[in-house]
Amino acid sequence: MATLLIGFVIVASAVIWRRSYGITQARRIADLDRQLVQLEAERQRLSALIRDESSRTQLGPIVQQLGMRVPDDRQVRMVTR
Amino acid sequence: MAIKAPNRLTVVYGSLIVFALALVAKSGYEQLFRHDYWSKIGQRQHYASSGLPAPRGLILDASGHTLVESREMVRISVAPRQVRNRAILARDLRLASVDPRFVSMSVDTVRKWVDVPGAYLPTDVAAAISQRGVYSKPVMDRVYATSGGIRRIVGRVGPDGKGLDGIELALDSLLRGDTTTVRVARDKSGHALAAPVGSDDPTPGNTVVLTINRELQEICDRALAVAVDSLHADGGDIVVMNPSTGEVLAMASNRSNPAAMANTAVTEPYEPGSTMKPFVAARLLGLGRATPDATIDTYGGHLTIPGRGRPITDADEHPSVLSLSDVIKHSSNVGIVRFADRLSVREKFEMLRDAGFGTPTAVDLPAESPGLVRDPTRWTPQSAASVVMGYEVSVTPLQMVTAYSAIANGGELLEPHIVKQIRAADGTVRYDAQRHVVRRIMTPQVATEIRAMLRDVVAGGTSTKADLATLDVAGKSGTALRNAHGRYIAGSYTASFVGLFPDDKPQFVILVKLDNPQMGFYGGVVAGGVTNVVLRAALAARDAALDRVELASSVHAPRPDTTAAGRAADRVRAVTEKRNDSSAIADSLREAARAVPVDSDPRTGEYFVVKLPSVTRSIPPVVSLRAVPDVSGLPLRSAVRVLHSAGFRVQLIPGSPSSILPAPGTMLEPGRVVKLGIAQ
Repeated sequence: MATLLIGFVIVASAVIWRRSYGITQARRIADLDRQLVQLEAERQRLSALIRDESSRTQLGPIVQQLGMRVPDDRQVRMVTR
Repeated sequence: MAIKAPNRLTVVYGSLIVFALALVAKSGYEQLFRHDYWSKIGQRQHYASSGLPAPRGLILDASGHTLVESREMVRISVAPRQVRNRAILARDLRLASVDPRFVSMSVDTVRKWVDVPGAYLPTDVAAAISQRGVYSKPVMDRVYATSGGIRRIVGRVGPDGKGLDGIELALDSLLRGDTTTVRVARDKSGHALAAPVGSDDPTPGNTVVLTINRELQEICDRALAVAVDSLHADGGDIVVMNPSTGEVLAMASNRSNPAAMANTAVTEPYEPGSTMKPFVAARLLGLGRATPDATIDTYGGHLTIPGRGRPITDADEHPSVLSLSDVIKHSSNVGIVRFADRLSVREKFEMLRDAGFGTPTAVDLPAESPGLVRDPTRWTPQSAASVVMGYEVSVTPLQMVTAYSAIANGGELLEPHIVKQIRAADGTVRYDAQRHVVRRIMTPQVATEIRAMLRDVVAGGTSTKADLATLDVAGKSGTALRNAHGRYIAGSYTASFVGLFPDDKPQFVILVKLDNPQMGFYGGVVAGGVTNVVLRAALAARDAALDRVELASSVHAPRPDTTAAGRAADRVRAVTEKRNDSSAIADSLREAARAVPVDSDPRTGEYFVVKLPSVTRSIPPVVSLRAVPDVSGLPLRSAVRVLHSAGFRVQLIPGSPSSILPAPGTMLEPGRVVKLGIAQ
């Protein structure tokens, strides 16, 4: 009878541990999913920022302030190979 | 025999046994007969249904650069009564830039539920949504390039995820993905636990590849913005097309009202003025009514037509007798009207209709205007003369570029397109744009002859500002009075130029149109100048949709720039290479500044300075050098004051008092650091 009782307790504990472990892992996966979404959104925000900052709209006034200019077509060489 | 009454223990045992049996029976009943019912309740408590938004498709440029993409944002709702720490939640919401009114509402326990308006970056609200009582829902948002021109082309998406205008509207059903509803396990506080259970992923929208070249688009956007600003114009448009394929390579629009986001290159028609003349010439040549060398008397550039209130005049000085080529070169209104007398009204109407004016081009953009070409039955006696000068007809910039592309490609009117390819999420090509010929509007021979005329316009006619030194540009300018409420407004013009680049094997057909420029108005000068800026920038750009191998065959030895600005720029270039001769640079700069492109009104003799983004504007200012003053013998405070007033920055270094580095008398630029010695 005592063995039966101990066996029951062990099995019950194992079931409870398994469920708890499963829930913990599920929470971790959910957290990682959320992090993935956050990082992806951040990546997109940063790449859009890079795109915008490297556009001529942004760079145009700066290069003009620096005294740089668009080369004349006489200064452009066509590389054909 | 008397029945022995059960003792109390037996009653207790019996009751317990009956209760246990009832429990087992009830349990058995619920398990065996009501299993489905309890199973449903269990499912409802442990799982939740959630809409999983499908990402809207990407929009790419022709080179594969991302123009628009989707990103996941979150909408948040708060159940204030479930929130454990309201102070922390209020702080987190404030950090996420939530409207303060909704922050207060979110921690007000009188309310049961608060939907916070707006969508937030997941990173911004990560702290808030991890708290009890805060619920999040993912939504898809669009990230656009900042380029105004690209925004006008791709359009916008409304809060409901549907396209509002541009490509987003035209291809809404293809860009929109298939949203799915999924079941997710949730924990005791209602938060989603893990990945969706037994469901398919949402299908992302199709990827749309445009024919637009991002770099060329940015060049056009920038050149147009500078031109509109410096010429004080009401707005303008630039369209660049590949005449061999009908691909729209760039489409920039600019209006002085920043809120105006319409793609005016397809929605806003205008009276084209003299850019119409090459089509008249082409029809005359095609019907054998004239040859390029055929001459006509232009009566000194002044013609009065009976019944027409205002005489027809020419703005450009030219000989009285002109050939058809010279009529185009000098943009003679009298000449083209007199030549066009050889065409019937019907033939003039057919010329306009065949060139695609008055009908939409069927480009893949919404709200395209067909322009206006009135039926000949509604023409007035003056209309026959007006239409050949580009009046009483309105066209969109896209229609005009498409028509000129026919001149560039040997006579075929193409259907313009802006969508190059549509790909499914798995990479399968669903649509591939093909070159589509609408009709032939002139023979290759006529097209070649018209191109030669257009070359003369740029080489020595009304549009020399558009020309380059090593590559030939062909084109035609137009300067048309603007019309408002049926009346022409004196002093208000639409200045335009349509160019073919290079002239022998055109890779670009470019239209520049400026609305009501205040600082000069001749199309050949202001719009031609902008064309030159765009072409030079495209040549210097890494990838601006130019076939450089083919272009190399069109390059010739540089022509000397005989304009005042060109001579000055040449001198600046020459002296800049010497570097040391600062006085020569200053002289050249002064001459260049005097020689900025100037437009004049021959009728008034009034001059306007046109500030185009040309080489003369981007030269760094010459800085005058100053001598380092001698401060020996002065107290430290006075020495520093003298150096500061001379325009230098001062750094104190240990050394002999009042010693100075560089030595007094050295010529330095103002702002340079001068080291001043102080006693240890």
